[in-house]
Amino acid sequence: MLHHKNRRLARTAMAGIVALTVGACSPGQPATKADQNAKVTIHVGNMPTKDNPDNLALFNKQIAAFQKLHPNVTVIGEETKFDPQTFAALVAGGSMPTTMQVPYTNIQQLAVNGQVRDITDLVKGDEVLSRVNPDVAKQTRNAEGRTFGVVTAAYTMAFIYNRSLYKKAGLDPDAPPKTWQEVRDNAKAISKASDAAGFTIATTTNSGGWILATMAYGHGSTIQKREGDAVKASVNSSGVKEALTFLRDVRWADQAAGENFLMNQDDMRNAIAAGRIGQTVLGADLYRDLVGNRDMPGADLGIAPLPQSSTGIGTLGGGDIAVASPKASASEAAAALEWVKFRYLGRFLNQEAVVEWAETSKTGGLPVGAPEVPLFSAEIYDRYLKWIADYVNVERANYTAYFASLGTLPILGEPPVAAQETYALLDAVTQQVLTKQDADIDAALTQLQTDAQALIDAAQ
Amino acid sequence: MPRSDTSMGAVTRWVRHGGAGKLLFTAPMLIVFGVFAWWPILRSLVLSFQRTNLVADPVWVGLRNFARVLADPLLATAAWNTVWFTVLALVIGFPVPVLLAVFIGELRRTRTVASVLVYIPIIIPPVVAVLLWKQLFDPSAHGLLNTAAGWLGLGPFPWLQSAETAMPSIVVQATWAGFGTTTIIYVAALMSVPSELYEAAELDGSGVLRRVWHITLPQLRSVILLMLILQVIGTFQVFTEPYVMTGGGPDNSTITLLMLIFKYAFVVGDFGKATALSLMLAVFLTALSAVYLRATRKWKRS
Repeated sequence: MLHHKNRRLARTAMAGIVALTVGACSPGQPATKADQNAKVTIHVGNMPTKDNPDNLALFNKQIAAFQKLHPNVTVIGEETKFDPQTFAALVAGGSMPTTMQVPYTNIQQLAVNGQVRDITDLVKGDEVLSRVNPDVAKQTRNAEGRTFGVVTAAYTMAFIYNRSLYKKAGLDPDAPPKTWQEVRDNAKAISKASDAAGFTIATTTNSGGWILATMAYGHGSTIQKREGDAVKASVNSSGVKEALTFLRDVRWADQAAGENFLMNQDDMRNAIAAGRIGQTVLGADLYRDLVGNRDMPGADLGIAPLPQSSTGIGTLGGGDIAVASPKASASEAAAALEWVKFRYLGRFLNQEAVVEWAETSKTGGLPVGAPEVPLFSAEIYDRYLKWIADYVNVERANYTAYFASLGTLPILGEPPVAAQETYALLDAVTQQVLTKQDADIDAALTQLQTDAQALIDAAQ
Repeated sequence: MPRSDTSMGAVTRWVRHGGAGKLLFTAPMLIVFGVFAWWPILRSLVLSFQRTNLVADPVWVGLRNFARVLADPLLATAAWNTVWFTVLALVIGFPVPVLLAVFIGELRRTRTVASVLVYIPIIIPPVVAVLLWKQLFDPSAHGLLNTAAGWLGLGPFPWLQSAETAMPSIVVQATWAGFGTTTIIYVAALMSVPSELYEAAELDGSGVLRRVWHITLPQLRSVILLMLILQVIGTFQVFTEPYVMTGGGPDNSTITLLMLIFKYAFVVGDFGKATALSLMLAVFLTALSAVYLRATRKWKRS
């Protein structure tokens, strides 16, 4: 009596098995030598969807231009984008595009699992990639120095606030808070002056753990530590405790956290765009999405560096990494790599490409000059800013503090082992402090420390 | 006729009795079930003894997946939540369709209209219905349900935003979404109750309640017993409602066994662990059904 869900699960599993068997008929182990002139067809993910016609038009234009440059390559766009809950099935089922983007958070685990292709041989000696900011590039390598992808966009976790709600509450939107105490005071002021939540965070589908880890950095601790060769959980640490205490105080002592405590990141982005969130913590890359896709007025969106307590150690870095399918041949992977460089890195290095990108984006009402972490050196980034100067439609003066922080506030990595699983584990405790008035933070952290270590031990 | 069949004779007789035609007509069903149900069931059985992410070569690990599932501290939470959901669904959700069916059965001219009205929630796709209710459960004082509660001087309730009220809220939604089908089945069963029984009872001077108690319910008994076990099996597999409404929160108070299976398979990519827990759940439900059918066999006949 296998039930419905079970069957569906098994069916997905079976699709994978079938694909594996079929895959075995074609060259099982991808050839290591890439042939630059071989005729290949590559499928590329992250194609903009039809509700985003300007982006899509630019994408198609880029495909045409790319194929002119590389006549032996046929590029087929796919809307497939990374979803942690379907990626395993996507790879197993053989429907992963030749290349697509995955978040920083997942790359190490995907590499260990063999779910993305090792591209070390392909990137060796590459002129463009050798110029990528080393701090950014190291995100794509594992502990042994093998490379599994190319960073296409980078950001840091930041303090996100609503400038118009700040004004409404009598706060100065040009002076974002630097400490958590100020955040708390501002949250009180905002919830007094409006219906919006003074400060709250997304807590479901691993966002709770992800943001808690970020806030822990701002309070002085990481959630995992390297001890020699081993990685140890450090969930039961002062930074995590202070971050949770902060959430609890905003929620219960100040009554300034709003009413909905079960939002995923998508819900949160909608709520921010709708002006229902005074302050939160999320990636600084959300400008493009909130203003470009969710129609938030750009002038309302405040982005500032992550506040730090007296012991704060920095903020969490994030970004997108283009990876290749483990089933791609060397020639396909090489062509995909060229595409990735053309589409995502070209806009920093080639004036013509930059101007075209900026022009199309501006005409389509998409942001040009939004906050991001430079992928290349400061000189290259400054040159890029000069090229786009005529097209910038983002009020960059609003983000002065954020841009300044990129050079000074340390950018820390994700927890090295079982990052997503640890985040999933920590979701519960963020929900607990926000929904249960007498939550015992110490007891919860003692238990979580054990559980988090168990996750690491199982993965190592 | 002496039974002196050779195998040849058996085949001839099978063909003459239209065996080939029968096979032809059942073949699509056999193929579809085979490919999409039975084979995957066998596959998941195999997977539960392997460590695999479906990309790297699978490794046989014996019973280790089962041991790892049993060692997961979330298992007890998920099992308890699932039982809690099932119990709440029985208490809240089980009597509703029985009562409604009896009520509809008493109607004469408006019975069809009433049946249609009762069935309407089923037409809404499950995820849409769940998202709709997520809006109704808005925890603020001006949320729809809280506004209604406010008229009665109650609330505002946190609904999904508290570990205590989240599960009952989900049960209310699930009951709303599911009672239509069950009610229609009961109404159909009621139609087969001989009207002479009611006429006789009426002649004996019994009122509505006595007729329901002494005729309707006993006549519906076998259907009710079947619907009960079907509901228990169904509620043990609850997934969509908590997945969409709460994501298992707050603080894991609505994470169910199916959500745990989903998490193993698709968040962690550990298909061995996922199929191991699926198998354990399937064995448990099979055993439960067997015990139930045995226990109620006598009761059904009497």
